[in-house]
Amino acid sequence: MGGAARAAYLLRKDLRIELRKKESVAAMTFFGVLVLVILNVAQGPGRQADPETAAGVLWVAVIFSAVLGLGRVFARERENGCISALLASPMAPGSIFVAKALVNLTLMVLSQLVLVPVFFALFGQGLSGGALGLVPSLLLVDAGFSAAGTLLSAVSAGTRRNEVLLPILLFPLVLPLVALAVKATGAALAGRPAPELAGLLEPLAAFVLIYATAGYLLFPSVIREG
Amino acid sequence: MTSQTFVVLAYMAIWAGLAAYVVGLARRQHRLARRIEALAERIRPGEG
Amino acid sequence: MTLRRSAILPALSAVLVPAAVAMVFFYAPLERTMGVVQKIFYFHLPLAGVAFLSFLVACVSGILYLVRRERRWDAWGAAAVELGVVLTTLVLVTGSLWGRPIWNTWWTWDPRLTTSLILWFIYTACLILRSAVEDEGRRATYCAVVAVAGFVDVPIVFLSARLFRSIHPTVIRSDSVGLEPAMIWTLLVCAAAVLVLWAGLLGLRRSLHLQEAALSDLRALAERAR
Repeated sequence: MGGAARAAYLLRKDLRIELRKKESVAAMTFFGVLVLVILNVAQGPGRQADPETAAGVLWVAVIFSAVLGLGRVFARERENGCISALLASPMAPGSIFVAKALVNLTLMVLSQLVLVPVFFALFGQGLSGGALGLVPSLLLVDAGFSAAGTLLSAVSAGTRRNEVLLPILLFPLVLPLVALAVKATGAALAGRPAPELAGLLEPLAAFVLIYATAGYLLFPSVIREG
Repeated sequence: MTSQTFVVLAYMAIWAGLAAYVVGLARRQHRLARRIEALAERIRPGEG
Repeated sequence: MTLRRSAILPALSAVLVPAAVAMVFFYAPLERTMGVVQKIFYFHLPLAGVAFLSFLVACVSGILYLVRRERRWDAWGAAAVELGVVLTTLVLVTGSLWGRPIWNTWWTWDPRLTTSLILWFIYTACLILRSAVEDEGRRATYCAVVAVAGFVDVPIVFLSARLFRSIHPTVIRSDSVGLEPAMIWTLLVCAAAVLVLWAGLLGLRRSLHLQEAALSDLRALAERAR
């Protein structure tokens, strides 16, 4: 099996586990919806959010729910002692990274299939842009978040304060990602033209590339610490 | 608060901050020295 | 492991620091638009530069540790991260105190301040991570990974902060005032003072780290010899 084939194998196995039990996806989605509801309540009754504020709300819900899913990825492997098994296999650590990151990406996308409609239901009044304009920024942020998140969740999984440490490590890193995503989404929700949005997406793409590379290179060192 | 107050505060913050850090380092160094002493005590009597 | 304590750096600091402060208050002319508050800038800028340098050292040490796995690289890295956080804290405080009387705001999303803030969060998280890992090897590896992953974020943060601003033209520009020669000299002396101070403290912290690690080794040996 080549490296890519092995990564695909691991990816399919993980996805099968996640989707059969649905525990991660369900928890992530549920928590995300909860955050949306809380923020809707927090903004006060009868208030209508402008496009950028609404965009901010969506992204808060997305990243908080995503961090929940990320935390589980390596926790489960450690519980079952699978990490050593993975390392003993002929699979390159870099491929493990790719597979795990793609699993996270899939989980994020799946939960967003629910979160985005709920978001429009709660915050949609007065927003001219549709859900379609959100797709590019959602995908890019999901990819970037998964890349950085997979690397850092492997780090935090090896510590005593796993759950607390992951957001502490990850959120500062992805802050620029979130800031740009809010801008791009806000513009999309305000119905701005496409070329304007494209310029905002470039740094997002740069982030994804940089962290996919950095993650691929650094992950082996982390995972070898067991 | 006049502008001068801000300048004074800023410089005080810089030197207080650096001094606090240096003091912290010094205290850590002292603790280390004490632990070395304790370890030496443990080893010396043990070897008689 | 020899710990040479040369007196050069402390002696230089003892000379440069008072000289710098004296120049700031007695030699540098009063700036036309900002008045006496501008004098904060003479240390604010070097502090920011040296903090950035410290994080660069942490990143490079991290890479060297991951490649060579030698304790001394972890020592340099740990010292650099800690000093970087201390200096960045001062940067944020002085920046805030500078901004308040001039632009009537305690905070501005200026690209450089934003980068400093994010770096502060990233590397403080790194320090928290260090305290959460018992095993020396694992701690060193994790810290190295975070130091590298964090530093790689810097260009993106800077870029995205600039993009952020271009959409909000009302955000204030910072120190783009022209500098007279006397001001430049003062700035250079302050920069030298901060640089020498940093180098001295870095060496001190690094040797403290090495001593503590050596003590741990000795203790482990003593335990086993019982």
